[in-house]
Amino acid sequence: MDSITKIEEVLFIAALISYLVCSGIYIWYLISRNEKFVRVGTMLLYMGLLAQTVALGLRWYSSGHAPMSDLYESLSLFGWGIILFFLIAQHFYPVKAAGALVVPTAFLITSIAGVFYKGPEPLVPALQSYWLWIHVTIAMLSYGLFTLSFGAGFFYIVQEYLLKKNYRNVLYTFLILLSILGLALGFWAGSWWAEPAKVMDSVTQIVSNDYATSDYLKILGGGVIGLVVGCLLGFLAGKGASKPGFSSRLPSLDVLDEVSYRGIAFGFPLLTIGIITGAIWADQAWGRWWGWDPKETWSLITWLFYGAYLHTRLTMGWRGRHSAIIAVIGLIVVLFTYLGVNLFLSGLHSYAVPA
Amino acid sequence: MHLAVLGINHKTAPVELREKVSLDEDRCGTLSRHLLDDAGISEVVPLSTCNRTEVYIVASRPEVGRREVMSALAEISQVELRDLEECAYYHEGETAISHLYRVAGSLDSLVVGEAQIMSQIKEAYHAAHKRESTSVLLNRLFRHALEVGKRVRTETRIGENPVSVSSVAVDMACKVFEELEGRTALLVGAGKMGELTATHLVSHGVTSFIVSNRTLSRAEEMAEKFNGRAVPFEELNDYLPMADIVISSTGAPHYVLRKGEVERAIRRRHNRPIFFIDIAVPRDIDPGVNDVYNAFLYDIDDLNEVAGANAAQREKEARKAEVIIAEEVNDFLLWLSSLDVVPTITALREMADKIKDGELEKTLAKFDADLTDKDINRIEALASGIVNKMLHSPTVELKRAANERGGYLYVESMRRLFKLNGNKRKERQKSEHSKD
Repeated sequence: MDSITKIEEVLFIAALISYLVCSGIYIWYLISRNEKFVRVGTMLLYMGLLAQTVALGLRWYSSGHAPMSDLYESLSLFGWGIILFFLIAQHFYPVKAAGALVVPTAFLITSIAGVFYKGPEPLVPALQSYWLWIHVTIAMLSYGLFTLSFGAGFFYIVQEYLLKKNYRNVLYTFLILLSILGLALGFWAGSWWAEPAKVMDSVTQIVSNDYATSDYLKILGGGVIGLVVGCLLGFLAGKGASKPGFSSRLPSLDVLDEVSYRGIAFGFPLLTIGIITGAIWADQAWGRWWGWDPKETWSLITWLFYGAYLHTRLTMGWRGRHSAIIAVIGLIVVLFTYLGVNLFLSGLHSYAVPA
Repeated sequence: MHLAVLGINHKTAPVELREKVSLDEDRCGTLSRHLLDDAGISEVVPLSTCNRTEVYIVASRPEVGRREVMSALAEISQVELRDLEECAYYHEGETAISHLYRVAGSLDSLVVGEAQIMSQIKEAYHAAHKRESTSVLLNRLFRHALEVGKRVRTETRIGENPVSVSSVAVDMACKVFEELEGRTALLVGAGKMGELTATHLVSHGVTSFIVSNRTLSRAEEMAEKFNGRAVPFEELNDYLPMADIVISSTGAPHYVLRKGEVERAIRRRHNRPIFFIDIAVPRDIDPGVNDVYNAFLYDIDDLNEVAGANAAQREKEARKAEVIIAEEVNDFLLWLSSLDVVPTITALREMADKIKDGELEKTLAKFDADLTDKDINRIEALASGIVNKMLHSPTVELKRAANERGGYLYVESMRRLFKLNGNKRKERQKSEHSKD
């Protein structure tokens, strides 16, 4: 039993490392457009996916239930789904450049899974049902597809912006946006540095004197470092993007719009099924279909959000930037439904909070 | 043996002369046969494209080679020798090698970074190889040149971004639409620039054209050229929703397309984007059109700006390419000189030994029989000693020069000074070629 857990751990870390390296390679591809190098990256990504697949399989075997019961398992499945769908999309569409955002996102989510790593445990009674794996698998796959839509939508917005501006004065936009992003991520990393266990704590706890003074300094330091790095990257990215050659490295608007739409067109039915199976399971486990539990409420909000995307697109002929913005915000809603609700709000789905 | 090239290109010769001197397959064959019959020339590769005609040769005496190629080329293309001499350039050795590499790297092209030249060099070389007019030197040189061209293309971004206004326009359109195939283009006005851009669109797969012009007859003329259809200018707005790409080049003093009309057209297209190219001065399309959702407008200044930025980029990449080429020329020269040094030293020794043996024989014959074996050995040792001492430092110097840039010059001088006839092998090969 122990050695299987060990192998699983090693494979998970291997997958994580390959995602990290691939993040670098795909970002470098955006800068250099080196086809040979990115082919190596794609191979590595396949290998990482395989390693993670085996890791998930081993977890299933050693715990005796589908690997979806705690935050580590479901986050790992989420990251796995992102990589899977990205590789599928890359196979059918020329969207390699979108990997510069999608792969790092998958890495981030998988590494958060690593933070919540726990050894295999038997299921708590409430989850002992075959609905577990149907419900969670379907939900996670839909999340993976939404992440793909997010990446494509994001690059749609960038590419459209550059084309509309004809590359003039884009430096400042990049500088400001990336600095803000750097600052936010810096604060987050700083709070990790200060108190790893509280990384996922709500903002209220940070404000309510839960930390020592030195911890605040660490958070502040993280923020400063993040700001500097963000400034630097923003300057480099803005410089690069002011050259017309840059956006030839991004996929065309057509493809980005199409991929973003496809992701949601496939993800939305999956989410619908996920919610329905959840309702059936809820009826069996708790004796009611729907109880306005925070998780249920938020998944309904997610569902309505993506429903609005498809509705505006199919009946009102929306496409392009507006749809892309919905796809980008959509992922934030998804992440809140998934992580935020589990971590910040208490309800029946909160079992996943690390003890 | 000397590598050399004689040729004319777009920088040195007017198009009238280039047309006449251009070589097709037959003429290349005739020229090669003609040159190889001449005793001094052992290898020939003619290269002829629309911007250049060049003949690469390996000659034993470069001056003779130059004369021979010049007159043969003038004769075959039936131009005055004087006209050709005025426009032709001639490079030898290192400069000839670097010339070919620069051509292969498209640094010598009319449009720096163009991609065609590689396949043209490849074809020219393969044709010459088939004709058996190449041997060790040119085989190696041309194969190397193709590698250099490839290296330039992969290691620099010299060919990446278009530099002419009409190809920039098409390139930009490709950033909106993944494929231009099957798209519809609307040409507003029947100007020359519009036509040129439309030709670019055709080569990218656009098949459906709508032409609208103030005088309908001119529109019809143009529509016929592109297999499209002409529509009256007054109905322009009715056809706007059908167009994916609009190219405007009228001489109108005011805007022909306004924001409101474009907004309506895009709505009728269910938000599918339209790409507007305005190459008219004064402008045809209201600049506000660029603010319309899913409309993309590029006027002539925008396109020029992009083309300029791209050209600057290519200049920068060309400098990187020059470094690569210098490196590769050095590599080739190293190979060339190492090829020569060993046989040269051998030939030098052979020559010296032959002289020594001959002189010894003569001298010993004069002494009748009053020399003991011991004396004979002493005399022979003396002769050998002189020869060895004499040859020691040239041999060492030659070997050292083999690894230096331009080392082949030492070898060349050595061969000339001592009349080492190292070209026998080449001549034999050549006579085998002419037998075939």
